[in-house]
Amino acid sequence: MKLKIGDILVYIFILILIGFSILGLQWLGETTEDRRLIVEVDGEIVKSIDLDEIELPQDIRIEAGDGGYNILRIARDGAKVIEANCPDQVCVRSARIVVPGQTIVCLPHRLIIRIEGGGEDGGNIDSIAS
Amino acid sequence: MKKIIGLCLILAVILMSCGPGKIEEYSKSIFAMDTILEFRIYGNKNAKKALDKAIERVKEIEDRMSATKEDSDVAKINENAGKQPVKVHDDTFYVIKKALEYGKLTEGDFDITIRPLVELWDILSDKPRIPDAEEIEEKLALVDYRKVKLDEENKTVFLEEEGMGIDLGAIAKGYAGDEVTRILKEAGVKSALINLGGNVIVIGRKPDGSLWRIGIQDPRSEETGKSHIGVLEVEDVTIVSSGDYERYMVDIYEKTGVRYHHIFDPKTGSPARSGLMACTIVASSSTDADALSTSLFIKGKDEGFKLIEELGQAEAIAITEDKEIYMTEGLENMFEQYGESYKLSH
Repeated sequence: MKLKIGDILVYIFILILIGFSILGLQWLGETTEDRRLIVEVDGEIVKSIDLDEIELPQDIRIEAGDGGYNILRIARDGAKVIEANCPDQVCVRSARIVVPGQTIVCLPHRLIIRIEGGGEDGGNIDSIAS
Repeated sequence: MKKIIGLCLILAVILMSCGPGKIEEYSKSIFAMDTILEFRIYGNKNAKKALDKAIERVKEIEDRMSATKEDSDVAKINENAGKQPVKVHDDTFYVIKKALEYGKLTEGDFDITIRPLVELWDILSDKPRIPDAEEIEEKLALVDYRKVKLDEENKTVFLEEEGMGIDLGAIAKGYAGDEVTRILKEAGVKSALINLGGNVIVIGRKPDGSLWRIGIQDPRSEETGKSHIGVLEVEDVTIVSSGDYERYMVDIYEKTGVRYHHIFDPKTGSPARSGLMACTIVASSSTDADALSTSLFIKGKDEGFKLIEELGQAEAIAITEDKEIYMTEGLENMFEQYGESYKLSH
């Protein structure tokens, strides 16, 4: 059987398409198994920590610009703001966050702390109404 | 020949998927209205421009309707209480008018003239304290939505007594949500997820055609270790929750453990205690959902559900202090419970 140039091109295209679909499927199937603590200041991620890799509880200091700071106590099972020099102290009074989707916000410092990932069932949600 | 046509078809499909009208995801988080606003929209370049426009609009609404921003319509109305009517922007007028309608509908349970009490309690101050009965009584005398006078023709608002004040905190975010939706839809956005400090709005379905999955906040996530009590699968709706977990102080001084939260009952002058920890409204208008969610929280499950069923424009979920979940009929097929800390009741 003789292959014409058109045949070969069609086969190549089909192979490329198959290749891309496999890549696409892998990309779709990607899960965020890690539970990460994400710290954003003014929309920029300044810290991204894998919670499962934390051995002992530790304190980290986040500089929020203009001399503003927040100190977080982080542990394998969650995080809390223990000190900050913001005027309203709302972040310090906020409850400790322990599960994906929870946040602590410090509005004066434009700081968001949140937990992401942790593929539990029912955790597969797009947003939370709160 | 057939094969060449086939080839052309394949090429066409590939080219179409990366042409100029390509659908992309645009995400943005900003701080405004005392909270975080998150936008995730899918569309072409027009959509991106529309998103910027929508964000500008939210800031404009905040500048006009915030009770704490100097020069806002609301600040001016409050300053001139008992003195003179104040001319306001059309949107502020609309929102106040809408709020007064809810005042009437809820027989005063939803009341924007609550401001003097919000200031008295000052739940989020450095040194929160519990006011005594006398102070509350004094401020309660200033709370009455019927003393807000609107002049349709001149678009003015007048508070009849000195010391009165309005607070649109329970409705302005909802209005902002409707405006964002309008701007995005006008620009042809067919799929978007917007979270305005907890008020969720979804436009259409997800880009892959599936329904959006929106978690309903667990009001006691500290105890249960879960962020949400369940998931609603939805399209083209707005979901607004109210609860005692949002902004509160726990009475650690008297060690009663009572939660003093930010939703005040205009009849008692204290944080509402209707037996609910949280409630959620699902509706098509975000302004209505916002107002109804506060109303339901203050009224409690029985009276609140009755009102919502009478209005017939919204569905609701209520989580009681006994950790029971109730919902209106229309939601039963959309709701999927998560975790076992709460009991689903009918």
